[in-house]
Amino acid sequence: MNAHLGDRVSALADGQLPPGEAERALAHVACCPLCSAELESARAARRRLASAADVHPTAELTQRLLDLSASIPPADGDPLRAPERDTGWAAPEAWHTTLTGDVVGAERRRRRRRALLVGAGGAGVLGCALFVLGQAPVVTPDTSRVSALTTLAGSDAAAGEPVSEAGLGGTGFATPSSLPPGYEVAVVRAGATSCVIELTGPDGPVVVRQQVGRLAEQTGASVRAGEAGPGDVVVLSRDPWHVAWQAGDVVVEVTTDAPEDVLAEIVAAFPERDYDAGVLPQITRGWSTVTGALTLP
Amino acid sequence: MTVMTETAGGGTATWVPPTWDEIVREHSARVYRLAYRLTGDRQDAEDLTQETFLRVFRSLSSYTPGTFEGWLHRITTNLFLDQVRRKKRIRFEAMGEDASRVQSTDDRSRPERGYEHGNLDHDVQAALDGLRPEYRAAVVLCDIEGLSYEEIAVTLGIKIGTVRSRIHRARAQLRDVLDHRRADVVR
Repeated sequence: MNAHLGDRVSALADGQLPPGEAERALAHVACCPLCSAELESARAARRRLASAADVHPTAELTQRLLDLSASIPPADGDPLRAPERDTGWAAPEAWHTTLTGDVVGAERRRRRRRALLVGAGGAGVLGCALFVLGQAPVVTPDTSRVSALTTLAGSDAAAGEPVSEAGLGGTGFATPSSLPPGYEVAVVRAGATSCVIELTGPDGPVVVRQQVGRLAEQTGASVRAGEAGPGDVVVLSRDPWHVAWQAGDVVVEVTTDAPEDVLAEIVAAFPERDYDAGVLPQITRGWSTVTGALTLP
Repeated sequence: MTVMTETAGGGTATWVPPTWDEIVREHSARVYRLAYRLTGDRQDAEDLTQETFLRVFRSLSSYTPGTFEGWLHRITTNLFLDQVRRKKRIRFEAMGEDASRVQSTDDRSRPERGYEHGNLDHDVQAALDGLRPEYRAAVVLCDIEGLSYEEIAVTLGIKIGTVRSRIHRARAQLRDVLDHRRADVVR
């Protein structure tokens, strides 16, 4: 084996190479002074960091943390703390079981989620009702990186004819209420059931695609967007960013290379209660029962 | 024989959810340590710790045994990286066209910060502070929190290959900085 180890040196020092590969790497280190020295210094750097003195929170901080519980009563049925509303930065559900071997827990979570969905009638979760009725076409975003990059490259002409931004007004599709600094709408294409808005700006293009339908259940991580934005945004890809969410009877997808904060601004620019504005088109599509039941308390 | 009773809210009779006090006492030191190594600043670390626990508290019902530490790591690290990106953006906007001339995109170079570190690990923390936040997060999770590359990949939402190269490059930079400092002391 002739090739030097490169960044595998660190993985070797951390014991993070698969057994076979580690063996080959060690064999190489034994006869390569360069990699041997690299390995030794990687280990030294690792030891140096690990030996850094521990730090401890102050008593005041601990008290402040304890006091957090006084602000909201810790009841399990509290909708404020339902996982559907705010799962924070949880990894995709599918990973939990793999990572922890917590098969029983995963099953229990699924059951609990089902119970919560059943009990969520008053919560105004439109997507939940759509799921139960199952009448909307299912929109399954392509989660692959290639597809996101293709979208960004602008080769997605399937959405329909170019129209002006104002032309979207009557279609029920939303336009962002505000754009991040430097961004502007480049192209708007709209068809009968979908539309694509392309934005250009300093951090690269942003493609917003809207399709009538119900967002398919995804394995992506669901993260809570900013307070002004939509409810649960599903992250389908991080590099480039590809996120999707349900807004009324429309599935909105955003694809961009821009940093997360630019993405967040764009996501926040779409009104959460978009379907309020689009009630009429929904009624004409036979959705009046759904929206009627859900907008009532 | 143990009777497992499924309740309406999920969970079984054999597992009792921890109280908030227990959670804080058991995990606050770990979260604070991670927050401190990431931010390199006592005040920032306290803010980050508090924000992390606020998130935990608000979404506590998704707590499941065995994933709590990983969950805390994810929240803490992602909140930190979010803040860094937001701060960077605000600063860029404030500086307008001069933004391209800014060297450090992080506010790690404030001189008064040096006094906040204990002498023992001042060098190490200063070297960490010099790393780009994404690299710092990877190497801190690995060397100080002892996570595997796979766990770090999940925490940061990146590929294992990316974890490996970030840690490798971070170590190389740490080594250079620490060697340099040591040489300065000897001289």
